Parts: sequence; C-alpha cells; structure tokens
Amino acid sequence: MLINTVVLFLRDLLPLFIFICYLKATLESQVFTLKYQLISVVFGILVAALLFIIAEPLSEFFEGRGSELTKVLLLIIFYLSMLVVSIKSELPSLFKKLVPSTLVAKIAAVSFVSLIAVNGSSFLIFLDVYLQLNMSPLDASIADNQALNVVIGFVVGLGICVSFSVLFLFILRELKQLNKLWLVKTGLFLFIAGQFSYIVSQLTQIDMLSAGYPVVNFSQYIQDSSEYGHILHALIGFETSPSFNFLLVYFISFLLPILLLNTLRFRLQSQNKIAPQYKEDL
Amino acid sequence: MFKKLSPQAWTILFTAFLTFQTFAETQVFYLTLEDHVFTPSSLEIPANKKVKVIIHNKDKVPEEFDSFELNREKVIFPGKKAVIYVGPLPAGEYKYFGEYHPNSARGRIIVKGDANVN
Repeated sequence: MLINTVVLFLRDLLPLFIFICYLKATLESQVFTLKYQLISVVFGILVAALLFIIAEPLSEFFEGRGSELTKVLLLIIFYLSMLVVSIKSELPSLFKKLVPSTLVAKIAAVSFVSLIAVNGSSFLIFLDVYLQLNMSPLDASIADNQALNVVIGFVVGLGICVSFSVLFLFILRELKQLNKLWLVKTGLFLFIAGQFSYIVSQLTQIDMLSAGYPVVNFSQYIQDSSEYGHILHALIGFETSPSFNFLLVYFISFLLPILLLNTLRFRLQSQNKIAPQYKEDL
Repeated sequence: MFKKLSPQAWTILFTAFLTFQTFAETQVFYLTLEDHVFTPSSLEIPANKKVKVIIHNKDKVPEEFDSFELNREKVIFPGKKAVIYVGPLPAGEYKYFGEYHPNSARGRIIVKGDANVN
C-alpha cells in the first residue's frame, strides 16, 4: 500500500506539478498570477470532486463508456486551451479582438482545471476506497497498518512531487535566463502531447479506436512501472511499447503548435504586423 | 478504378467497412473480482486478435483494473461489470493488478499464438 500510494502520486499528481512549473516558467508572472494559480487549483479540485461524486453513474453512460469519453473531452479542452495560450503568449498581436491578452491567464487556468479534473478524480476514488477500508471493523490491526502505510505514502509521494517541481522550475527558469526559451517550449509541447495522447489508450480501451500493434518496445531499457518510467511518462508521455496510433497522435499534437506558430509568425512578418523587439527574438 | 467511384459509392464503401469492423466477431472473456482476488488469475487470449474482457466486481468497494503492460486502467464500481477491449497483442504474458488492493488482486493475461484458446 505504501509503494502503491507513492506510485499513485507519481502517476496522477506529478503531471500537475510539472504543468504548473511550465506555466510559471513560460507565462509572464504578471499574466498567470498567484491569484489565477490558486483559483485554478480550487476549481480543479471542485471539478475533480464533482466527477468523483458522479463517477459511478457517469461510467454507465454511453454503454459503459462514460468515464473514458469524459476524460477524452477534458483532454481535448486541455489541448485546445494550451494551443491558444502558446500562440497568444508568443504572438500577442494576433487575434487581439477575439482573444485579448487579459484572457490568456483565464484560458491557461481552464487548461489547468481540465488536467486536475482528469488526474484528480481517479486519485479521489483511491482516497475514498482507502477511507472505506479503514472504517471497516473487520480487522483493526490490518486497517491500522494500511492507514499508516497510506499516510507514509502520502508524505513520501508529496515530498517527491514538491522537491521534483522545485528543482524542475529552477532548471526551467535557468534555461529561460540563458535565452534557451525554445528548449523550455519544446519541453512544454512534449508534455502537452504526452498528456493529450492519453486519449488513444482511453479510446482503444472502449473500442472507439483501433489499437494497432506496438511499433517499438523499450521494455528492455525502461519499464512503464519503474520510477524512471513514471517520471518520463509524466514529463513527455513516455510509453514502453507505443502503438502506431499513439505515435501518430503524439507527433501530430506535438508538431501542430510548432507548425501553427511558425505559419502565423510568417504571416505576421509578411504583413509587418510584428513588433520590432519581437523580431529580434525570432 | 478508384478515381471513377462517386462520393456516394465511397460513402457506402466506408459505411460497409465500419459495419464490418463493428460486427466482426470479437471473442469475450470474463474476469471476476471477489474478496479482492481476480478469478481466473491467468486468462488466456489469442494472439493478434482484439478481445473483449468483462470484469465483474463482486466486492463492496471499487477497484481499478490496472495494467502497465496492456496500457489499460478502468475503475469497476461495487457490484458492477466493466468492459475493456484488449489487443491485438503479440504472444506473451501481460500482468495486471487491482490498483487499490495490489497485494491480493493480481493476475496475468497470457496471449497465445494458438487461436483456439478459452
């Protein structure tokens, strides 16, 4: 139970810590302020709690496909919001009337709320099961032992997530200081693609997408269930044996923001709408 | 030859393909969870075929069917059945476990080259 709790932290909560680091590093502190960060965390927990409350009836919708389809919908919201945020933060002069700069922080918050809801709801189910087991009077000694293991697992899991994110944010800020923002953005796009590609396993699980055969197998080097596997999965969506459809979705969702940014940047440059100081960055 | 097909013919072909995909025979396998133990603990399925696995949770608490190797995770609520599709997979052994009771709820799916597995 101890290792399992730590694994759940790494699987469900580490991506949220990584995402907030990216948002803090890539968006200006005046844009994605502490107020927005706190509001999105509170809203995210509320949406996750709502999903947890309705999880059982929701799972029975659409012939038992309700939970997967909800997660897919939330991940699409997450991806599209981050697409808008990425474009607007790089090209602020674009779509000024449609998406004013003041809206960027709100869209980033929507994206964060969606990701918290996807990851947080399954974590809440785990907490609920743990509480139910500990209230069960069947065997007090087993219950006490499990409770202790889960509490230690919580402390260790939270400790890993917090220390990892402090170090990660430090690295991202250092890279930004060294004018290597492109590296930070590439990492962010890989992270977004990794999170979004989760829709493939959800859709194949409910037979709405063909799984296809695994294209490569890295299990000799890194196992999905290992610590490195979990961290790489949280960072870039690493899979030991990805299918063709997974790789297709992964690369399209990774390349789409880059291609869109370059196309829109080229259009702006040709129309001379781009600010002179911004031209230097390009 | 394909260039001569009208859009309507393409639509019919595409619909027929989807219908074939939907109604193509998918073997069904069953797993039961009772007292936080999966039965059978070893489930044999055919290689290179997509199969449907129905998991019945007879316990009083939810359980999450989880497998890193199969890339599947599904919460099954008390007294309910959940369906997941697995494969097509190459022959081999794929472990799974119950996320909330990992010590007792464990099992494996054995993918065999022989198509006549049950």
